[in-house]
Formats: sequence, structure tokens, C-alpha cells
Amino acid sequence: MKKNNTISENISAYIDGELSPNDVLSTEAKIKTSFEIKKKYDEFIRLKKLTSDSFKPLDESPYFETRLTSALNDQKSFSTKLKHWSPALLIGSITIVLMILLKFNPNLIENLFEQQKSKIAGFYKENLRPLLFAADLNNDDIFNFALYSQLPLDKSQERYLQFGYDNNGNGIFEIKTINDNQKSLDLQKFKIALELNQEESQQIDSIINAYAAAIEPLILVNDKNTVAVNPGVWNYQKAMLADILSFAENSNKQKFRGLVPAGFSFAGNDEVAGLVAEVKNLHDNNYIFFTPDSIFSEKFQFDQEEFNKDIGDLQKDLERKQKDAKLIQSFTFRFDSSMQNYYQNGKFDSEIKVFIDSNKCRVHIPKIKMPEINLPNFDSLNSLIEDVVENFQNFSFVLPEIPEAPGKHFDFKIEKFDSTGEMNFNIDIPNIDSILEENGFFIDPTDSLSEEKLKSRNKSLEKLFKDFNNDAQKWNSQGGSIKQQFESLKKEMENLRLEMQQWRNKLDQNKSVKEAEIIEI
Amino acid sequence: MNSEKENKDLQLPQILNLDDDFSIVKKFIDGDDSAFNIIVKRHKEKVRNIILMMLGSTDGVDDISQEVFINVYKNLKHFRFESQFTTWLYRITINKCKDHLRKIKIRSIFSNFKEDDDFGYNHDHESKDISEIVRKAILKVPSKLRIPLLLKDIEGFSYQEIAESLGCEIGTVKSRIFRARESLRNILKPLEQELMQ
Repeated sequence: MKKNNTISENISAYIDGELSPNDVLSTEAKIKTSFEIKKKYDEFIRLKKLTSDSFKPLDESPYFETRLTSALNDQKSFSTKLKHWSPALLIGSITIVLMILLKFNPNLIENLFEQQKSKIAGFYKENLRPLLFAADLNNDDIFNFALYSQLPLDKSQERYLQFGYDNNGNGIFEIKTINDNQKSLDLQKFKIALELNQEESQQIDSIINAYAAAIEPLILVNDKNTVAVNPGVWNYQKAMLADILSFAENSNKQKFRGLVPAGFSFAGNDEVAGLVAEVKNLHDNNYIFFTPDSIFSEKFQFDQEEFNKDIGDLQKDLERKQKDAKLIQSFTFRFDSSMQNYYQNGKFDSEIKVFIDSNKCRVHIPKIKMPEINLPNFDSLNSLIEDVVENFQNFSFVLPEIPEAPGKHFDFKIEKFDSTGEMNFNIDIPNIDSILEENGFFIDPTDSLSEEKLKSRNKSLEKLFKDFNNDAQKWNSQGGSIKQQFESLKKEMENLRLEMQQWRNKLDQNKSVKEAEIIEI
Repeated sequence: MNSEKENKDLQLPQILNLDDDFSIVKKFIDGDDSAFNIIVKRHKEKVRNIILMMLGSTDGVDDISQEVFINVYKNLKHFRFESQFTTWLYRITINKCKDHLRKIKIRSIFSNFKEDDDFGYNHDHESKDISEIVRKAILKVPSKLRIPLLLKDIEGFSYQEIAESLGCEIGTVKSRIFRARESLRNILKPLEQELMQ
């Protein structure tokens, strides 16, 4: 059955033209041989035709593209609209989120605001310290504050804090940069005007000191240009003024009358005593903060004890350093004679300054006047020096005397004229005797002919090395001269060769004569 | 000389016709929207006829065709050029038709709707037209067997193309087409006399 199905499947594929060439051949063979298979084949052919004829293609749709374009544009426009409205949608979503947050946490914005505010306030409240300490104010300044309601913030820049009252009588303060208020009275003048004796003078100083200590924590400053003022300072100013005037009246009533307008009297005034007592008992931690970008009022607790402790530590440290400094009482500086000469000749514009720190010593030497040195005029020598430099490579040397004994080679030293060094040259000279011996030419020194021969050779050698042996033979290493000298040497060598040839001929003759003599013998 | 020419021919890259599907798809990917119109114009009729053949009804042919091309428009930028563009297009078409037929089937469960009611270009059940009889008989063949048969006999796809479009093996296509023919033969057997006339 399965085999039949496979055959039928192949027939189906055969009519579709999807069989491999081998399968086509076998299927065609089966169709031809089997009636059943032929019948199946015909059936499939007919079914294929029925199927393909059953469907007619659709008529073209002329509006298809138009409708498709429209549908695509709709889809596009939706996404475009979405993009267009996205900012609004974003804002809307943020609003909804905020609304939900505020619904469940109504104080959110307020808390955030407060948080930020406290952060900023915290920044400006850092390292606050009393103005009296920071600006190094003295009793004169405190007295002026009592009298004129002014406190210097920074003496060098003439910035000062001006206290006063507005039209409604409320206390105000402002920071001014130019002091246009001409003070007609200061502490010293006040003391003189009242003709206070020393004890009284000390007493008024003591009063001012007491108020200064009380005012100290009420006006604070820091390096961020923050000024914090406790409103209680107005009361202290009034109390201090009342106290000073009361003391002045008690000290010298007559002079006091000359200072203040008629009718004013503080001595024995219970109100003054009451006011002073009341002011001293008032404790308010509210401060008004003036900062470069804001003004705000906030509670602030200045830790006077901590501050005093810090000041105490600082003072101790300072004392210790001063004590250490005292230990080094003297320094000895030793200069050599040249320095002394400089001083004596007035070469220094000013004195030498020595800065000594805990870990270094710095010496500041003033500008030294350079001595005038008379240098020789090199102009006349310039051309000569240039020539020397140009011809520096051309140098001369002296050959020493050649030793008398004929060695196997010569060693001679070349002395450079500028004596900067020495050079040794080894020149191999051919050992003529050994050459002659090797070639079978033995020279008998006892032989008369040989003597002559040797003399002649010696003369020749003498001639050869005569030039070398001259006392101051100058070798010019420039190309032309060397070439000439080599040519000359070559000629000499040629002469030597000719002489050698002559000797050889003579020796040959001599030998043949001797042989003939032997034969004759 | 000849071998030189052969080498030169081998070295030269294959120059594609600028009008072929790949070139047009490339144009569209590069931002030329007008290339899409060319694609639609070129393939719309084939797509419509495949849909007709698969649904057996003209109803919804244009709607589904539109959906097919919208899908193509949205996804053409992701086309990977690994197969013929037509294979990719016909697979989308066949899947859309399958989705549509599935929806109809689900709908028919909850209503008295009968799938074969819509079959035929006209709704005259008494017609003795052979084509109509055959179309009705084809509809009775399970869609799994019917689709490869129609793609082969009507659209003239090769087994390879059918396999790629349906995502199955060539052997499966061969077997399904055979079984579809067997099934169709059995359905049409009682009507053999009418068909012979």
C-alpha cells in the first residue's frame, strides 16, 4: 500500500514537473507498462486541469493603490499626530503624577522648599564668629557704636554696620561702604572732656568691656560675607549709651551738662537701671541673616563657650609659638671675603634680607651690580681665528730620528703642535734581507762585492728615508701634496726595484763565474 | 584571449537590473517612498489572486491585500535580502489569509455561519457550472492540503517556492499536493457523470 502511495505521489509530482530525471524515467516506464498507473496518471491530469480551470483571475482593482495610500497616510498621520502632541502628553502625564503625589503628600512642595531653604541657610551659617573678634574691634569702636550706632565690618574697606530706626520707630540696620558720618566725639575726647581721672577712665573702659562681651555673640560674620544680627543689639546699644551717660554724669556733672543738651539727666534715674537690668535678662536666639543673595530670619544658637575655648586654644598655640621663637634668639651668618668686598664697595643696592620660618630659611639677595670688565678687542684676530678653524684639519708633525739599527719595523711618534694628544704609527717596512734569503740570494758580508753591494744598498736606503729623517718635514695632507709625495715614493720604489734587478743580474754573473772557476779547478 | 575574457567576466560583480525587486526594496529602505508604489503596482494582482484562491471568495480580498501591503510597508526596512522578495511577500499574504480563516472559523463556532456559504464567485448553489462544482469540492479539501495544491495548480509555484512560502520541506509539499488530489478525486467521484458531460 505504501509502495502504491509512493508511486502515486511520484505520478502527482511527475505531472507537476517536479521529479528528478531518474525518477522521471522510471515513472514514465511504469506508466507505459502498468494499466493501473496509467489510469492514475490520467486521473491526475484531469484533476489538475479541472483545478486550474476552476479559478479565473480577478479583475484588476483600479482604486486599490489609492485606497492603500489613503490607509497608509491615516496610519502615518496618527503617528505624526502622536509626535505632535507628545510634549502636551508629557506635560499632562507629569501633571497627573504631581497631582497624585500632592494628593497623598500635600506638604511635599513646602517641605522641598523648606529643605532647600535650610540647605542654603546652613551654607551661610557656617563658621560664623563674632564681629568684634573678626574685625578686631576695640573700646573706641564699641564707644562709637553706643554713641553713633555704627560698627566697622572691615576697617580697610570702610564697610560698616549702621543701626537706626525707620519712621515707625522700628529698628533697622544697613551695611554701608563709605563712612560719611563725621564723628565729633570719640572715647578719648569724651574722657578729656569729662576730665576723668585714671580710675574713672578705667571704670568707663570696664563698662565698655562688659557691654562688648555681651554684644559679642549678637553680631556675627563669616568669610561668605554673611552678617547675622540679633535684634537684641539695639537694646544693648541703648543700655550701653544710658550706662555711659549715667556714669559720665555721676563722674563730672558740670562737664556733663556741657556735653549734653539741657534737661537731660541719667544719674539716679531708675528707668535707666531698670532698662539695663531688663536688657541683660533678655535672651533671644533669633538672628537676621544678611547674605550676598538673600536676607532671612532664623533661630541660631551661637556657642559662646565653644568659641571661647577655640580662642583659648588659639592663644595658647600663639604663646607656644612665641616661646619657640624666643628660643632662637640669634643667627650667625658667615660670608666669604667676596661678599664682604661687595658690601665694602657698595655693590648692593640694599641689605640682604633673611626670612626664617619654622621649616625654611629664605635669603633675599638684592640685585647685584655687575662689574664692568674690559674685554680685549677680538676684531683684529677674527680673520685669523676663522682661517685657523677652516684649516684645522691641516696639521704638521715632526718625525723623530730613525734608529740606526735596522729593525723589522719602525715605530715613530707624531707630536701634535697643540700638544692635546699623541698618536703612534707602526709602519711595516719590508725586510729586504729576508726576501733575498727566501729567494736564494745569500749575501756574504765578507765578500768584497757583497760589501760594495751592501754599501750601495745602505746608500739607497739612506736616500729613501732621508726625506723622513729631516728635522721638520711637513706633510701636507691636502690631496695634491699627498699625491705628489706618493708619486715621488712610487718613483723611489721603482728605482729600488731597478737596483734590486741590477744586484740580481750581478749576483747571477758572479755565481756563473764561481761555478766556472770550480769546474776549472 | 578567451580565458582572459572569462576571467574578466568572473571578476565583474553581478550587475543587477535596477528594476528588480531587490533594487526597488533597497531604494525604499534608502528613503525613497515612491519605490513602494512600484512594489504595490507590480505585486498587487498576484497577492489579490492568492487571497481569492485561499479564501475562495472575493469578499475581503481587497481588505486583506491592503493589510498585507501595510504590513509590508511597516516591515520592509527589516527585510534581510536572504530570500526572494516574492517569497517573503507571499508568506505574509498566506499568513494573513490563515489569520482571516481562523477568525472565520472561530466566528462560525458562535454563529450559524458556514464557511462554504461564501465560496464561489456568485452565490447560486444550484448552478451546474463545472468550475463552481470544482471550487466547492476544493473548499472541502482541508486547508493544509488545499493551499499547496492551489499554489501549484493555479499560481504555478514550484515545490521549492511553496515550501519557502509555507515554511515546510519540499517532501511535505509533494506529499500534501498528492493527498489533496486524492481527496479532491474522492469528493468529485459522485459527480463524475456531471463532470464528464
